Amino acid sequence: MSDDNNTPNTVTVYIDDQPYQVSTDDNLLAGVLSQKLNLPYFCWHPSMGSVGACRQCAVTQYQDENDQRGRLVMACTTPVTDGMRISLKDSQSETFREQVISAMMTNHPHDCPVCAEGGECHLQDMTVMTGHSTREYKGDKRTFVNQNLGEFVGHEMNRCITCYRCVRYYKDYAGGTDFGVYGTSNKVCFGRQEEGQLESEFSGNLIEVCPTGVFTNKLFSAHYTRKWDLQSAPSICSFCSVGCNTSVGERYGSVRRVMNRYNYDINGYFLCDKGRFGIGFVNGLTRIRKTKGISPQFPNKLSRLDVSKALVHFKGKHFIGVGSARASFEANYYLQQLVGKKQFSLGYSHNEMVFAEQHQQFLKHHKAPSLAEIEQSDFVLIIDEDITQIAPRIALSVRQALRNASIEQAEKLGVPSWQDSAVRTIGGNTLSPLYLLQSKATKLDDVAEAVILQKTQDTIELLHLFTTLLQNNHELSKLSDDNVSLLNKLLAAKKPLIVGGWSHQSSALFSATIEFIAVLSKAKHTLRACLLPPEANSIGQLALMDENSLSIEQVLYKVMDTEDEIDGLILLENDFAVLNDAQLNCLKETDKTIICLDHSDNQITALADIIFPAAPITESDGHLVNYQGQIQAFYQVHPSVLPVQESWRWLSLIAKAIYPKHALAQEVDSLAELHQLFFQQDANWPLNTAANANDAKAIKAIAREPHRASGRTAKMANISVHEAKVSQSTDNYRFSMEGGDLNHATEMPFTWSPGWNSNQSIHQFQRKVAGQLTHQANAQFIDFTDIKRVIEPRTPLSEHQQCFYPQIPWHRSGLQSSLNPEFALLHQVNKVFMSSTEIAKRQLMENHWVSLELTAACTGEKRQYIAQLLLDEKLTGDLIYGDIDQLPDRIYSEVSVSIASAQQVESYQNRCQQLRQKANQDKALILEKLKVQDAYIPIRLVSGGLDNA
Amino acid sequence: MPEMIWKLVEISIIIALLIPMAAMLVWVERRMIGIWQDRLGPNRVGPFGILQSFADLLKILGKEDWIPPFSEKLVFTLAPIIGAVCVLMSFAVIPFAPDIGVSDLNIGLLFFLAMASLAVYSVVLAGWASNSKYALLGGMRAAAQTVSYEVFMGLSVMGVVILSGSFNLREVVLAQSEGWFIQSQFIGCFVFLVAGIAESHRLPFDLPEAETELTAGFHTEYSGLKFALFFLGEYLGVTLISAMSVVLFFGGWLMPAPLDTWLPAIVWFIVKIAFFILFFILLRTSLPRPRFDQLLAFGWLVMLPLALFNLLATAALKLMEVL
Amino acid sequence: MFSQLRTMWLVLKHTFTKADTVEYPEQKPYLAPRYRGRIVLTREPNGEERCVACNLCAVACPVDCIALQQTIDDDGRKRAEFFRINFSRCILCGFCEEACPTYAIQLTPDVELAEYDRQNLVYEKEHLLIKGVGKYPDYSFYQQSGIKIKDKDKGEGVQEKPPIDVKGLMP
Repeated sequence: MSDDNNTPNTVTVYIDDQPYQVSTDDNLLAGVLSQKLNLPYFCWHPSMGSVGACRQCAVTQYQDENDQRGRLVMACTTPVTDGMRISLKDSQSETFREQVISAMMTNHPHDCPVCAEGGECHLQDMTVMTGHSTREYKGDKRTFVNQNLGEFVGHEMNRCITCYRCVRYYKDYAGGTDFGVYGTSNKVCFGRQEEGQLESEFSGNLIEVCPTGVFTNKLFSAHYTRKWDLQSAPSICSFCSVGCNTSVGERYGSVRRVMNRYNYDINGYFLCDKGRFGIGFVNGLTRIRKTKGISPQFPNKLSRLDVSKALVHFKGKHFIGVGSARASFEANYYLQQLVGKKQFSLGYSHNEMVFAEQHQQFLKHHKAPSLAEIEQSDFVLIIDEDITQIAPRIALSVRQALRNASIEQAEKLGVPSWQDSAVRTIGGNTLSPLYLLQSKATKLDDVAEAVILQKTQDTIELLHLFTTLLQNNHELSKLSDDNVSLLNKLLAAKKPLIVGGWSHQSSALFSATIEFIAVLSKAKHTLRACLLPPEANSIGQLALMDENSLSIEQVLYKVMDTEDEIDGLILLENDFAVLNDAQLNCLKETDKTIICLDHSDNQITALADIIFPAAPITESDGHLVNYQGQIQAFYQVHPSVLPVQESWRWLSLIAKAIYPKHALAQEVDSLAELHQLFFQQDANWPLNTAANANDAKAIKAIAREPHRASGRTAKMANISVHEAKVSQSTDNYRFSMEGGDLNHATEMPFTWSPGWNSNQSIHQFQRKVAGQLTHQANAQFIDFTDIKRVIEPRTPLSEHQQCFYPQIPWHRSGLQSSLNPEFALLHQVNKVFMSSTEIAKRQLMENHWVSLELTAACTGEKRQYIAQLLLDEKLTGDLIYGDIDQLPDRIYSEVSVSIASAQQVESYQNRCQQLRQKANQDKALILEKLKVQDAYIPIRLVSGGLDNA
Repeated sequence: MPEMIWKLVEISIIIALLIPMAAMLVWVERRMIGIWQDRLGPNRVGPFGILQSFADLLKILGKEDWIPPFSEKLVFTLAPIIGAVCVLMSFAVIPFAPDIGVSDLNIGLLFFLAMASLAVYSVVLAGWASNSKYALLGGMRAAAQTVSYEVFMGLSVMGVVILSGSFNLREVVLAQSEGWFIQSQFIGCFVFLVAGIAESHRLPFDLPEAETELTAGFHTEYSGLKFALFFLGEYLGVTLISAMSVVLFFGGWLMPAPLDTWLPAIVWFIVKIAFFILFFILLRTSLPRPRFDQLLAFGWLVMLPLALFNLLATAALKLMEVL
Repeated sequence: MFSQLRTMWLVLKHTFTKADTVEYPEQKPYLAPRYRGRIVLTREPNGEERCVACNLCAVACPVDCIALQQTIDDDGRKRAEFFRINFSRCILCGFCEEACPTYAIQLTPDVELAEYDRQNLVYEKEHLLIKGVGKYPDYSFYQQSGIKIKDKDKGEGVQEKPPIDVKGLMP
């Protein structure tokens, strides 16, 4: 887990009489695997350490070169020592390993053909590796009744080999509470206390952690294909600003699943459930697959000519471009260049622009830590941000950071950090300090040293106080005990970390946070701070922002203003979610042209005059910029079916029609050409891939399909028995099973190596186990220190006193989440939390249904919701928070709570029921539609843009 | 003048018989190979499949007569014609029977050798004009092979010339009425047969085609009618070499000595030719193709000394008046 | 030289042996039951489809002429949503049959697979599925695997113990 590239702690180990240089930082198993040698294992996991439960990694250790007998040791619990001699090939350990598997196989069912893990099963791999081939035990097999673990994770307990990885991951690593191990002896069962949805946001990792098929991906199983048939591409998760690396798999023209793609600095071995299970939006029912407002000459074949004909009368007209943090960095830049900086909006409201401007200034001085760096922290302060829901993967890293105290304690006793169970025994409940300043309960509360639940206003005051204290060294008398210890521990920490973000919607708190960090970082140079923006490319947007950038309100004003010579709007994958109904109505009534580029229907495409179907992330090439400013590439998993194409391709057509004299109004055939074009126009363009493109050409293009991919001559034979040519790609990956060595890919579409079919094969591509990838491309960052201009932050709108703090669960934020019916099913019931005094004061009763009337701060609109009233003991004063479905706004100035009538409750429950039914219907409909599509694969030969004529 | 017309009629009849016979030969060959390989061979078109060749001919006429754009077009067209014409010309000097035969050229044997040498141009030109590497390799092989083997082909028949004292083939036949030259010229006959196979590019000496190595050798790029001409040339060549062997060593139209003359002379001639044709087919069925260097080494190191020895011995014996 | 002559003699002797050729189609040759001809999908003894759409045949196929998609039915069985064999590519090697873990895919002695139109050689599941059990009369995959289906609960299969009571304390 420590940084790898410099490995001073290597010693010589003789493995089968060959000398190897092995690092002493990790155990012998990791050392052996780092040498790319094959040694079977189950219970050990590179990021969870060793417990020695499965006895699979036995090797023979010899005293010295004269020792002929040796003794069996478990490699995963053996430290590496200088000059040690071991053997992997001797018959003693080989037989032992074979018999361990053979014991497991006495109960393992004969169901590989119907198991979703088959073909990428660690157990299969290890069985083959040990040479075990025949079940000799003739007795009956143990069986289990399975549990329903919710929407995402399937359960088939028969297959379990009791390695304990799942429970170690779910409880120990991810901090889940609703999963455990039950029973005794040969009857051990892993699951929940009772059936139901797994509550952790990281439950999906069970699928990858489990070495066999006990936990499988339900969404994938519903529309299943084997790993060897998946055409995969390296991609980036588009749901939040962390930018986890994913590998997206496709078969027969539809996306099937997302798997983790190892990245040492960011997501490591784990993803959150949103990233893993949220990809269904690309197969959603509301995907836009046709243009609107363009009449093609030939009905089924849109050409470039048709597009330019439709747009020709807009030539030279004035358009405002609205980008979005959902669209790729390239597309946003392209649009900004076309319409001009003064006519460009990032798609932020006025309030968000205040955040954006401050954040851009902040990034000039502070570089956000990577997740690997976050895991090194020994003190964490989170300022009013529910990171478990906004950026779940960071929350998982924060959890690991909290273990540093117990690891340190163990190391003092000479227990290395990889001795997982020993470290946990020594550490007990010892955790590094985590302080939460927040307005609502979060899932990190259980590991926090102190949860300071208070209103935003109080947090702002506290931060101001801290700031002044740091500047003037006043006495701490004004502070409560918790706050004093917070500040003391913060100052005492070696690697403190502060996390903030945008989700609290209070610009005052945001600026107070920034001020606090600024002051503190002068006193503490090791301080790391990261502020979490809301979306996947938010930081990319900040790189484009200058003082001319328009807010949504300004855009609306310009559109409504008859004086202003604005002829229309070009919306780049922006659904205008920030607009309220009144603003939306204004837009509805205007006669200005609205050109929309998006992948799914939304409130704004309904108003659009012209719609260009944009490709979602799985069908595009492009880049996203994560919360650190790291620019990461994503690639097409399969070619989009025309007329769907990448936004930047549409923009190039729009440029040629509307801005023919613009320097960027040129035909571009690939992303590399686009970058070259940008670079020619603007030397500051951060992604000069011209040089990289030449390098890339030197490397043979990598195949997107494994070499075992099947069905090539049959999958489209029902359409025509004459095989279609393989789709031609415009990037550096091929839509085929033929291509360069996977080992040379800087971004691997999938992982596979001989003998290692599961994702565990990744160690074959790492410099050492759990280290950097061998061919990882150098991370590219946007350099905000280059931005010399200081934007005078616009004055925030007057801050409203907030009365109700809505919780925003991970499965309910943004357009893309709403397109997943499974996510809609996760919402159980509206909940509102109050303190006991508040409940008494308002004459309410705990656990009863209440009617909640919320007044939106900016419009004064009142809305009524039915919710269950729950007690939160930690709450103080009149703080109220809750989880309410379909809340349009974030800030509420007034809240009134009354006991709900039985009728209200019934109608609410009916509505919930209907929503659930609708979601289930949608789920079935999507599956039905995909199955029809399987039989008639939409083919596309060239992954370029539209044809000329 | 009527003599002239009679000659033309005779030529026409001979050509009209030879060409269908070459076509039939394809069928005969396939059936015979079939029989020797425990198969049936083509037996579906017409009685016993006898019309197979005509079906093939129809098919081949229906094929696109394609001239590759990268080829030397004039030469490409000319090459197969040269081949077929050279072989046909050689038949002019063959005495089929006492009163059948186009020409009693007094240098008939030399004319045959000349024509056989000319035939190689067909192959070399085809290989060169195709402008394709396989064809060129085939052509080169043909050139080397023909040049080597025609040397001792010529030498091998000199024994016959010594014995008969004439280059006129009709006189050669008549000279055998006392006894066929095979009695004394068995070495010459052997060398002549081997050289003949090599000259007509038949298996086992079909290295210019060698489909396992060179796709189809010199005629890789040929199709349709032009390909048919090559084919025709090859089977006419087989007939020609058989006919020459019969004329030179097996007494031509003469019946075997002990038998009565109840069959016309021409039938005897045809029977003998048929025997040699079947012999050629048997060779094709049973023997593998040698490597090219083996072929040349065999020619120069075995066949040439044998032919020279045969010539010397014959001459010596003739001088000593043993023969 | 002698060997060449001997060869010729041996070949010549074959003039008098009988041809092995069978004059198909007038004469039908004998094809053994395990001959590798047209591919079929068989059923279990109780009439259910055997194929569980595991994709092993597809991956074993050297010419990639098998394509299928798995689906899960309401009764818990996995089946092929579609199952397609492109016989114009098939080389009848039988690897699919060897790979099949449920005895679903079997090769039959029917070799008459000629069509005037190649498109007609693309067989879908309805063309492949037969009513019978083929060469393996008794095998039923779900009885051997631990999977629960509609008419077979956990622990009711062959060589299975009844499901474990997790709450039980007995060792």
